[in-house]
Order: sequence, then C-alpha cells, then structure tokens
Amino acid sequence: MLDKALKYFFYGLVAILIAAFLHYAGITKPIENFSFRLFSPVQSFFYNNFQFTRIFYDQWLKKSDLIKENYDLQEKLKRNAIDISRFKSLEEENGLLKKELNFIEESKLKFVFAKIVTGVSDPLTRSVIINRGKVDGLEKGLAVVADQGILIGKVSEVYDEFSKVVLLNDNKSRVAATVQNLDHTVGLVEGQYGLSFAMTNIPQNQNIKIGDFVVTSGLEGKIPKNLLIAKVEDVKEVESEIFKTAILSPIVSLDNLSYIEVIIP
Amino acid sequence: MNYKILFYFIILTIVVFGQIALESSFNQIVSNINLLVITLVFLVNLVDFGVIVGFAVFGGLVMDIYSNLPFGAFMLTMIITSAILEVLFYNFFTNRSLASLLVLSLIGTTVYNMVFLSISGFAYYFGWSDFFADWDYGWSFLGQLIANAIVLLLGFYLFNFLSKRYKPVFLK
Repeated sequence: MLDKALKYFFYGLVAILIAAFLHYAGITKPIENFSFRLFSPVQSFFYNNFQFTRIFYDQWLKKSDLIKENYDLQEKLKRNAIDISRFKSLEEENGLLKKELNFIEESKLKFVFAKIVTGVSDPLTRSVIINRGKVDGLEKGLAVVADQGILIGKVSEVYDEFSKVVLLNDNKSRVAATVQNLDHTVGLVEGQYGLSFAMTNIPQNQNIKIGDFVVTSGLEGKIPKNLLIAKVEDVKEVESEIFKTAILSPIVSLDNLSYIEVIIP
Repeated sequence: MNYKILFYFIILTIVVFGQIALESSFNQIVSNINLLVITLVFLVNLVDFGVIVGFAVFGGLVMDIYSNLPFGAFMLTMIITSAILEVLFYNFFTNRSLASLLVLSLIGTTVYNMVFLSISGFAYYFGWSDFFADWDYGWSFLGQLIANAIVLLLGFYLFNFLSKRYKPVFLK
C-alpha cells in the first residue's frame, strides 16, 4: 500500500517538475492563454454573479445609506455645476493662450477597453485577469484606469490575449504620486492590506489637507501624469518622524469593477 | 471506467474553478472557504491515492495559471497536503466518522497553509516573487479553519443523505 502511494507521489512530483520547467521555458504560455480563453466564460459568469450579489447587498439592503448618499450627491452636483462653468471658461482661455504661444499639440493617449474575467487564485495578492493581452499592445507596467482617468492598478503579467493586473490596494502596489496642493507634494501611494491605500514618504514640512486630490506624478515612464488616484481622507503625522502619511479614500470601489481601460502612452 | 474518470474530471474541474471564483470574490468571509482542502479530505476517504494525486496536480496547475505567485507553488502545496492527509487517514483516522473528517480538515487546512506560506516565503526571500503574507493572514487562516469545518459539516450530511458510502465504520 505504502509502496503504491509512494509511487503515485513520485509520479506527481515528476509531473510538477515537468510542468514548472515547461512554464519557465515559456513553452506552455500558449496553452495557458488557451485555458484562459476556454474557461473565461465560466470564470466571467462566476465573477459577475459574485459582483451582482455584492452590489445587491450594498445598494438595496442598505437603503438608508442610499438616501443619505443621494442627498449628499445632489448637494455636490450643485457645487460642481458652478465649478464646471468656471472650468469651461478657463479651458477656453487656456486654449486661446496655447494657440497664441504656438504650443506643440499634446500627445494623445490610447485607451484599450477591457473586461475583467476573474480575480486571481491566490490569497496573497489583489489582482484581476483582463481579456486583453500582447496582441492588443499591452505590456508590463502600463496604467489601468476606470472611467477614463481614475488609476486602479498596473499590468503585472501579459499573455497573448489576457493580462494580470495588480490593483492599487495590493500590499505590494507602489505608484509615484503628487498631491494637488500648492506645494505639489510628491510621495508614494502604497496598498494597505488589500483594503485601501495610503500616500507615504511625505516630508513633514508639506501642507496636505483633507479632501486634496492625489494624482500620478508621471515619474514612472509607462504611467501618464495627472491620472486621478484618490482623495486625502486623513493625515497621520508623528513629530519625531521624518515623513508623514496620508490615508487615502478611493474614488471608485476596486472590488466592484467589471470593465476597465489600459492606457498605452 | 472511462465514464468514472470523466465524472471525476468534471466534478474536480468545477471544484477548482469554484475555488478561484471564491478567492477572487474579494469577500472576506466567502474567500476563507478552501474547497481544495475540503475536496482532498473527502477524496482520501473515498478514492485511490492515484486519483488524489491527479486532482492535486491538475487543481494545483489551474490555480498556478490563475495566480501571481511563482508557478508550481499551488501544485507542490496540494501534493504535499494530499500525501500527509493520506498517511493520517490510513494510520489514525480510519473510521469515516464526522469527528475524523473534522480533525482531518483542521489538519489539512493547517498543513496546506504552512506549506503554501513556506513556499511563497521561500520564493520571496530569494527574490523570485514580490508577494508575501502579512500578519493579517493569521486572521484569514483562522477564518479558513472555521469556514472549512462548517462547509465540511454540511458536505458530510449532504453526502450521507445522497450516498451510503460515507457511513462511519467502527471496529467492535
């Protein structure tokens, strides 16, 4: 009995070694891509149903929160209408001034629209798999956004037709960022235990207020400047330390995403 | 025989993809359920070790493809866990009672997590991977122990209701 079990165990180990060797040699990449394609409808079905259950719970069973949120949003809408009118006049003025100065036309960003097929299988990372890959021009390190401008993560691995994206709230996620304040404070946005994210490495003399917006700094080659990341929710400073930390609140929920865009600079 | 293999393949495929769906649900409670360990516990009581090794390699392979961790981490975790469960079943927990199953699920979950964290820690230490567990994972492990025991309990009664193969065997 033990001999037979040992024999099977040995066969299993040999199979694992062969599979790992073929993977690292890059031979199985097309097979892995094929398996993504083959199972993506099933995975998509599971993923979307879990999302639907979550949204149903969040949006319908918590009605009191919805009423309050609705009231707050109406108030915000009124203030935004005023801001938009001011923004439009500034935009026109800016356009005229640029024309006068004969500015070189700003580079246009290319957006690749993608659908989230599923999340990843391991519990240590916060990542998703999307249905766009090398054939669509994707490569490692590209910025992934929601609503054409809110950064949600970075491409971490690329297959022919699929890619893995590490979300901003992953523990290992790091993005160079700037606060939209008078000092244009620079720091690093880091994931916080898969729940939220924070901006670290902020010098103590920088003035950051709750409600300030945090955007990409453009210091990373593949990530364009000024992509919205989050809003400052709280600032934690200890006098004896060199740097302070800003706790950020996401603009979009990273757990309820279905469609995203990848930016190709 | 071929139908049996096909049946196992379909059921085990559903289990593996169900596990990926649970893991990627981003729900703290649901993602604690580890269908792979629960299935291994049921399998060591029911089928030949060859089928278990087949499931460990196939399940681990699919999990590795859908993972950000070094390729092979899940396959190794699964095969080591299945070997330890098989040894424990044949030497200590042979009677197929609910208590035996629950103890096997607790040991299986612990072994699975220990092996998984050792492999991912090893890969992180040598710079093959950027990802490693933080202290928060301890809570997830406790959640897994509880969630797996509950799912196994439900599975045991469901299995007993549908089949007679899982009646406890006690020596007189």
